[in-house]
Amino acid sequence: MLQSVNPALIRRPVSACRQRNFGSFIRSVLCLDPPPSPNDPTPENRFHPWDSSPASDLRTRAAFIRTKALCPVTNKEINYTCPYSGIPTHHSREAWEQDTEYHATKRYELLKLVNIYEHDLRSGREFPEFDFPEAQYRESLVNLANWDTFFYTRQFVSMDSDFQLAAVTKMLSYPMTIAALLHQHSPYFMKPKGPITLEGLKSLAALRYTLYPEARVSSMKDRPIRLFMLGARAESQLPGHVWKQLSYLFPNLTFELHFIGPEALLDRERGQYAYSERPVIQRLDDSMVFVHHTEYFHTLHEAQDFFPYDPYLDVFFLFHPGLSSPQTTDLWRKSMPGLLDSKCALFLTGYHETDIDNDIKWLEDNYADEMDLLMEKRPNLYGSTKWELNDMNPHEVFQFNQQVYGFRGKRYHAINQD
Amino acid sequence: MWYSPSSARFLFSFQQDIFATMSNRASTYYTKGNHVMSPALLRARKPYFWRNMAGLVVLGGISASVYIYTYTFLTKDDFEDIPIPPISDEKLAVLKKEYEASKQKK
Repeated sequence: MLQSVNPALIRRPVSACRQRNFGSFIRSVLCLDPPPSPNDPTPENRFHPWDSSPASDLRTRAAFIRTKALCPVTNKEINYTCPYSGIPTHHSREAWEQDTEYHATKRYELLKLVNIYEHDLRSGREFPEFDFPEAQYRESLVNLANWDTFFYTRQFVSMDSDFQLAAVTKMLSYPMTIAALLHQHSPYFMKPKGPITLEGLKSLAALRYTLYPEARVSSMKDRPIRLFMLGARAESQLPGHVWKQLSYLFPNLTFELHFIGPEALLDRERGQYAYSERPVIQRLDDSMVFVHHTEYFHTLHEAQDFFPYDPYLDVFFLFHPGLSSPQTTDLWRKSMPGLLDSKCALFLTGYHETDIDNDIKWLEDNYADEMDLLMEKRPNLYGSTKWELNDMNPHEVFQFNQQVYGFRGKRYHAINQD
Repeated sequence: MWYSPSSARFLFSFQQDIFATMSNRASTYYTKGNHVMSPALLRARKPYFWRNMAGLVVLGGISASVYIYTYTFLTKDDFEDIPIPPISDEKLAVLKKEYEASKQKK
């Protein structure tokens, strides 16, 4: 389930030496790396046990884990901080020693990454990586093969350390997951070279017909492309310039981003989710409009707010929806008929393989006859590289948008010929 | 990927305007001063490295084989198709004597 990462092997940044002195001249003649500045993130200087963290919100999280989470060995409350990861994980030192699975899978290495990435974001260092590029030159193509080629061909700041990657990929994961699926130079190929099925190619071809108007015969401009994000949480709070990266990859188009769900609108002053009867519309510029709907999708669907759907112009994204989780599955059961009826492509992501496997199993158990597979489950090339932690169970480590899967309501009903 | 900005910067360093359009962000891919590629750039180039090397061998092989062929072809030529005027041994001995005599006079 989890790929093992050794924090000792994590890449460290090579900071540019700005002072011109004799030492730096000799170093540059010998092609040596300049000495690292003390504020550069390393696994050592970003490691603090969460109980004694310099950041108060991490101390609060540690206290929350101690009160709410249960030790996997003794099933009692958590009272012991793992010395490797600095995160409270077990009831006592004995329980920590007895947890053979924890040590065999080296889960503490991932927990340590959670720890150091969280401290890096709060370290107050310079974040040159958040200086995002603007419009792409027409003659320079973007290589979407992976994060590294994307950052280089889009001319982001050189992301030399995993700390920089973690900070930026967590934000860009949402727009880039969408872009990588829809783009004409998508890194996802058709079967057998990739995960896209024939039905998937049909849906993506319809969307690309709209996304690349210069390549089609009719120049008629229809309404904007609508990207629906159901159960929106983090994605609805992303700053506009992060979503704007999506429109730099598809120039001269207008996108309407519809964030749907009770957590789609954050009242920043009060720090809680707001409710609004009417959709809240924010216009970033001519190319991008954000529409926040605080109702559930099935309510809006029954009110025909989005009618008519068009598979050429509409696409749904379910970022870790938790279709099968007991708290939300009843709501998804109400929304799913409308989603399948729309015949538009649906892509869903998962926190980790077990999470998406549960969702896919739930779909196949309930809607196997009504849906077509567009894209087989696979690790998302544009998932976040930052490791996260479930506060209710510190043994569940995950990454945002780690896995991706695509499906759609069946379009062609087979007719029996006997 | 044949075009490497580092070699281009070396070859066309007089054409400052090309790189003046390069943003500050793009310049972070090379260490200032020694133009060493950053880890991010090395990672981005990694999937293409061996195929680029194979391409280098093919293209370099074409020009190298042209040079080698030309060199071997030219060194094989003993100029036997160029006519030498016919001369008998007696005439040659006379000519040699005249030559020696002129040498001694000097």
